[in-house]
Amino acid sequence: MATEARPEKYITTFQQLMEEGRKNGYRLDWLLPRETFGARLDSTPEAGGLLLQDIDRGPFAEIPDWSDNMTGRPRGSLTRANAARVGNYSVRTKADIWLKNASQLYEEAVQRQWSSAVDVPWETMEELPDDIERAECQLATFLTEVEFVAGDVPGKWISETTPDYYEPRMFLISQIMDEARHMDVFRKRAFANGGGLMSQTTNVALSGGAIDSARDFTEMSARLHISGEGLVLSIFRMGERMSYNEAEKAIYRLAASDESRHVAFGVMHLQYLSQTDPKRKEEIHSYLDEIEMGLVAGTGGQNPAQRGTPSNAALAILLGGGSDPASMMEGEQIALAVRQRQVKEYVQRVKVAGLGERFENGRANATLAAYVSA
Amino acid sequence: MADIEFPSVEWFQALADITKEDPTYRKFGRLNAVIVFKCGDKHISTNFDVLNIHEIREVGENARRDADFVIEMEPDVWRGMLDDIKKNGHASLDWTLNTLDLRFDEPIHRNELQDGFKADMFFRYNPSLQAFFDNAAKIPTKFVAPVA
Repeated sequence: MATEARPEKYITTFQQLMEEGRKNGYRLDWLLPRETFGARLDSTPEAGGLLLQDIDRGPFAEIPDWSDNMTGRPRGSLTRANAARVGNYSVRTKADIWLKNASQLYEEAVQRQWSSAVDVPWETMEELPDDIERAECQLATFLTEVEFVAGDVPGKWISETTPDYYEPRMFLISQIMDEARHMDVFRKRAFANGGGLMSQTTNVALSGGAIDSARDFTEMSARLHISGEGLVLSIFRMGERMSYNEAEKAIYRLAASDESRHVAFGVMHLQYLSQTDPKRKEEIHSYLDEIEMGLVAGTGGQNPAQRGTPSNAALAILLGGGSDPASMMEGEQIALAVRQRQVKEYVQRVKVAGLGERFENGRANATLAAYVSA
Repeated sequence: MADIEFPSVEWFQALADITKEDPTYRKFGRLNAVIVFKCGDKHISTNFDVLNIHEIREVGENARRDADFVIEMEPDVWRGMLDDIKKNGHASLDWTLNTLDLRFDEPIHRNELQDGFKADMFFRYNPSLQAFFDNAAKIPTKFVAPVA
């Protein structure tokens, strides 16, 4: 990043101001220039504009391993002795929430925002066979409910996090915007072609039980970003494949892009934690044990090939192209194939997060291994 | 414009030149990934660098390990996809990258070192990549039969 020195006249003006203040009894010490004064940042649209990572300079880039900032003070700014304790932040240990690329993911999120109102070609929707339209509406109902949870869960951790770790904090804020958009786009899809919302999910776990009760940010992130969002990413990818018009294609493609960014956040956070605080790895493995039980049994709704839930029946109808037994059987076979992909992708994500030993030492759920080798 | 052979550096360069000016691509364009496209025995490496698309060059098989991810399809699938894009002005329902990724026993994308974070970029950047390939509708393409 190119910089340009401030002209001497500014420094002279500052010294004159300080002198004037001293003469007249004003305290102007707050005007003291900081370490980065005198350097201007250049940016170009082609390089992505001025990014958060570009301004990470001097003391402003010093991220403490443990934060005693309870006053909402922006990282790197000077303390004020009489500042009120506005936040009783529980997340004040860097390893508990940090990741190497939170700024990049946040900037990516901001740049990739889209609008369900104008970026989806709703006019391409045409009347669908009744069973297909009902299945679309059921799946849209399910996804509206899922996204409600996905927005709710990270929300409560934002105000728990010290402003010294503002990058992951801001990423979570962007995630909530993404989830709100997903909630609105699937609600719109339910109505857009003359349908409406169908049945609430029958799966209590999916409506937030395990994820929402997480006591620790990393536990929440493993359950939400690695497991839950990984599942929803697979459903969105299936949704794109089984779309009946360009509108649905756009919805699922754009939503999948958002969702994979959330997965990336979780993977990189787990990677940072496993590298910097390895004594917590055993604890994280225990969360993964539970996650994998859910993945195998589908108790958390993580198995899109599972039978017996309205949303999975809807998936089978949409993937198979109809509600007759042969079509649904074909749809279930496709869902099973996608399920195998989902499990393989989960394994790769856990490996890159630095917890791959569980697939070597026999700790990983044996049924998952069968999926991987299938 | 004269027909341009696919796969070739010239073809991907022409696609990059069109795409860099495409408002749809620029809307979704923050893309940071080195992607290798494999068709037959040809490997074309492309650096998607925010809004720039550059360093397009033919590489050897080993360069796949340096890529964030590889997109590999059989020559007839590449041709099917590009014919469909030419016919419709963009990929139709059955020929989008994501649908092709789910159509076969193996995905069309992968990271050679099984790095899940990098492989997931295929999903993260999918709207940009789809916009990139949809612009192939504007390129007169002549298919050559690469060695499979």
